[in-house]
Amino acid sequence: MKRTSVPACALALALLALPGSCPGGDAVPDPESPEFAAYVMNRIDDQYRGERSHGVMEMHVKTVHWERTISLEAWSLGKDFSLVRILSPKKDRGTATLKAESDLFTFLAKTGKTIKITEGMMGGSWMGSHFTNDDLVKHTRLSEDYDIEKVYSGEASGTMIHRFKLVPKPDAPVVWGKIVVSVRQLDLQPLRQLFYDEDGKEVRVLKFSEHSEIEGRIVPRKMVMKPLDGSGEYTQVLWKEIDFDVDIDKGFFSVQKLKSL
Amino acid sequence: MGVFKMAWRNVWRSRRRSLVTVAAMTVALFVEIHHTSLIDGYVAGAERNILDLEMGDVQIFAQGYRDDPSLYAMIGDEEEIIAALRTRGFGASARLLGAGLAAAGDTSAGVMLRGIDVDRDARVSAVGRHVLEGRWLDPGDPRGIVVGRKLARTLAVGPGDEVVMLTQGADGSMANDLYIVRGVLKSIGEGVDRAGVYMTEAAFRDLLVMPRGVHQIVVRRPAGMDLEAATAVVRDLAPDLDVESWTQLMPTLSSMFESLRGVMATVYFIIFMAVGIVILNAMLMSVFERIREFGVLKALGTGPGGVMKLILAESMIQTVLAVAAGCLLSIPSIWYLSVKGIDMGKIGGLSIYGIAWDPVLRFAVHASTYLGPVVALVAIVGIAVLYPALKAALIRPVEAMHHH
Amino acid sequence: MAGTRLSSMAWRNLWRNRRRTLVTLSSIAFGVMLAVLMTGLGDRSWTDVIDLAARMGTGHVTIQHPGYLDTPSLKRTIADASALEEIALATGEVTRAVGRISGQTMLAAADKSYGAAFIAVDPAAEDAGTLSVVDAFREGRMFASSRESGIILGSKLAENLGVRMGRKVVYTMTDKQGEIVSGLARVSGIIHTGAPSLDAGLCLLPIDTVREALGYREDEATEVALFVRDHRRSEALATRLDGLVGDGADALTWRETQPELAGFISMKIGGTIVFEIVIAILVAAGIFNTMFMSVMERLREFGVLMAIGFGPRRLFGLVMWESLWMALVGIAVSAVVTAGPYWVLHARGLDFSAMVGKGGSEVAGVVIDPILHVAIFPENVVVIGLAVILATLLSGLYPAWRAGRVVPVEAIKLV
Repeated sequence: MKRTSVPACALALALLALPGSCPGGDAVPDPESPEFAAYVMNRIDDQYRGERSHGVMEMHVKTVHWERTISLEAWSLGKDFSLVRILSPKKDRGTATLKAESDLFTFLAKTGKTIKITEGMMGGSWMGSHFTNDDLVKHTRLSEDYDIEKVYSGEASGTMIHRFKLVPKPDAPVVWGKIVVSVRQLDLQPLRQLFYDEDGKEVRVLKFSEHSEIEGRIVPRKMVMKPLDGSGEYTQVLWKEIDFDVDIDKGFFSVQKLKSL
Repeated sequence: MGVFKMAWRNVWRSRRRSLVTVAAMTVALFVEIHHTSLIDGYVAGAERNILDLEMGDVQIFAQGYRDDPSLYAMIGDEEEIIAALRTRGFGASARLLGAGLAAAGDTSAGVMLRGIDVDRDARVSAVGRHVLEGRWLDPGDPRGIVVGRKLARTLAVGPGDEVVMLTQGADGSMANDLYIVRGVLKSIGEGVDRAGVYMTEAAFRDLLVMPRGVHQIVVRRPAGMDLEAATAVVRDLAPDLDVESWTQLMPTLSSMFESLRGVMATVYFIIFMAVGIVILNAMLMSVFERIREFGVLKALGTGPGGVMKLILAESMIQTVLAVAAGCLLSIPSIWYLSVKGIDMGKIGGLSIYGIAWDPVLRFAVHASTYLGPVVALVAIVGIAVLYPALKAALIRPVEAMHHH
Repeated sequence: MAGTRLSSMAWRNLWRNRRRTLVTLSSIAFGVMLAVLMTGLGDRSWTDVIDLAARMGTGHVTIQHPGYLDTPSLKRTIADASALEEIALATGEVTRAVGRISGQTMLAAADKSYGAAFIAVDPAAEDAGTLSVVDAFREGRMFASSRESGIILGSKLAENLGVRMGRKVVYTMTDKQGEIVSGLARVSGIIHTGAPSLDAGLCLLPIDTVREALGYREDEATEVALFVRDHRRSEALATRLDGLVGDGADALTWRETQPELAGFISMKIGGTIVFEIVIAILVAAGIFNTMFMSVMERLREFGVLMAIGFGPRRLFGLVMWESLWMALVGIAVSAVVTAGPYWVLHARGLDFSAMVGKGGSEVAGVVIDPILHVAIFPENVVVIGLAVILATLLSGLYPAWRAGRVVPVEAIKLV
């Protein structure tokens, strides 16, 4: 199975917390102005800051050899804290991952043991999906690590979008050659992120859809991550329930909590 | 008077001289027997180390597995292949291989899981007899695992300790389970030492959700069949699979053996030359100081042929005595060295090409261990005595008698 | 009679039976030649292997954190690497001293990630004499500075990651605080050594770049690798340095940092010693044979000598002198006989590559050159010379004693 490395924000976007463009918020610069691109990326980077959430999602993974659907319960606090627990299938129920700032732990329900994820395991798959452990921990900021340029504003597949080209800055610890991000003109919600290697070849795509409003926030309920190697593999995440403004604090995100759930 | 009788009397007449000559030959033979035994033991030991512990003679994989080891690149019909091999006198056993993570206490390490059929595997590999601490696997204890030496140190575990194994199942699930360390292996080879975890086939299949198929079949050839022939037979039985002999899997190791043999042959030759010179020395002495005697003999009518025969007979008698003495003295010593061996390295294990090398050198004992040097000694004596014998045969009686 | 007359008498005796003496001398010469060549082969080969191992590993002597050997980790560092280098160089025995950071890292390229060992070096301080892989560049070259953003990969590692020259590689490590840190590098060199463990598992990084990534102080390192002229001095040097470097560091020899190689070498040297003993025995046997014969056939002569006043002790002395002369002349002849072959093997060497394969062979992670040279340590020549003298003298003991036991009347009766 192929795995990939995705900027943390994108993953966090879909899995950890659920985003929400804060209604009313800061003044939006004119789409034609040079600051617009940076503004959009900052929004994407900062969407979860301070946000708390609790939800249930369904993750479907299809690989060349197998296909699986698991149901997960997730809590999050901003981008730095999250706890994701498997609800089903029964065999894996109780297994959970905890992210506390830059530490990552996995709790294995069957054995009752907790393992800290070391740098050697970072390349490994998260919960069997096409995401890696590394994706959860990485601290890239789109606006700082990339040079951003708006390349198109208009219609694509029936929706009005803005499209941006992101080229990693020379020193950014990012493996990609470039990323193309498309957002909805309506609310600047990300629609698609296309990742290219240094030869300009498309490697992966991350798509967001089924945007709905929940507790005043816009949330893309469906996210699909797909390697573009013709293998037909993909990982799909579908949010079933989400709740914001939950009463949790940093203390919630601890190894002890992992075990006690 | 028969040549032999005369030769015999000559030998006994100059007891001391003969004794010294025989002693020299005996020493040479003793040394040569030990040298042969040493070399045979070295080569046999080297092969034993590599083939018995890890490689086997031939290995079978699914096509493409070696380039890209994947849980899914399986051999499906292993039972048929193994059965077919066994009827032809081969030993064969299948293994399941998968990568995973082992964690104990605060540490974790990447490991290579090896699921084996414990009983069958014992027929092709001696790994189970190389347990340093604790015990080997038992099919009745699927929770018991045996780990490599360095891995045990990294994880700080020993027999009785718990290890969590985490990997991805063949169905994509997050496979994890708890195991108890049954044993820690001695040094086997780099790969096994650092990351080897042996478990029962049942435990592997259970953990990785792999009810069918295997990744590797290790094959031992029947005694007496050479490697190439054996590999060909295996290929015929598994035409769709990747069949490789150990020399193909480890070509650099194989060529190192060749070079070792080459060096040994050179050393062997040198030692024989040294031995030959010693004997030449002894023989020359023996002949030259009796030149007067030979002169007298010839004067009395013995022809050159007769003198030669006499000398040859004398040396033959001495040789026979030396052979008897040399062999008798060697027997207890070789026996001891073949059983106990010499410990030539000071550490518990070392690796060459990633395979462990047992530093204890055990001497080998075969008929050829004795036969070879004896034949060589006879040959050397024969050659060494020729010059002196010829010299004696061609003596002019008058000159000889004036000698000294 | 005066002692000198004994020695000159012995000298004359030796040459009375020229043939026998010559034969014995030739067997001594042959034995010595074999011993010298074999020892020279060993000395040079093992020196080469050890020196190579030092250049592939961490020097003949390594200074590192006391706990590093048991548990290598990027947290176990030594401070003030440059100060330690100076201390080492000041001992006068160390020819090169280089500070390095070694550890494990995860390398990621667009599609794939692989774990590898890394060595972070200062390109200005290192060259082929300290780091053997410097000679093995297939593409690219060593870093231009210690703070640049290049990375050098083993050929198989580059292949596995699917990258080529100039392509991005992100490396991830665990820093001193236990945090996971990443950096970007571009492939600036690809090395191919022929040793699978290196080609698939090693990468090089510039040391100051890594220091920054790991949050190390300016002079911090995981080890200082020291190189010496004569590897046999390693143990003594390590002991001496242990006292000089203080409690925060240990000085270890290559035997301790690379125990597997040490074991292999011990094993091979053990084999060479056995061989030399065998040769010594054979030569001694030949000498004994000669001396004994020579005494036995001169019993009558000795009887006469005794009858005219030579005491048993003088006869003993006489034969022992003969032995000694034999030994000395033997050594002289040996020197002449050995010089030629030794010179050839010293300058040209024995080419084993036909047997081993061009790339050399890998033992305990070290690649061994298939061309064997001869270069004996001077001390060993002295040892061999002394061994010859000793063997000859010992072989002469019994015959000499026998000579002294002659009873004149009995001896003269012998015809």
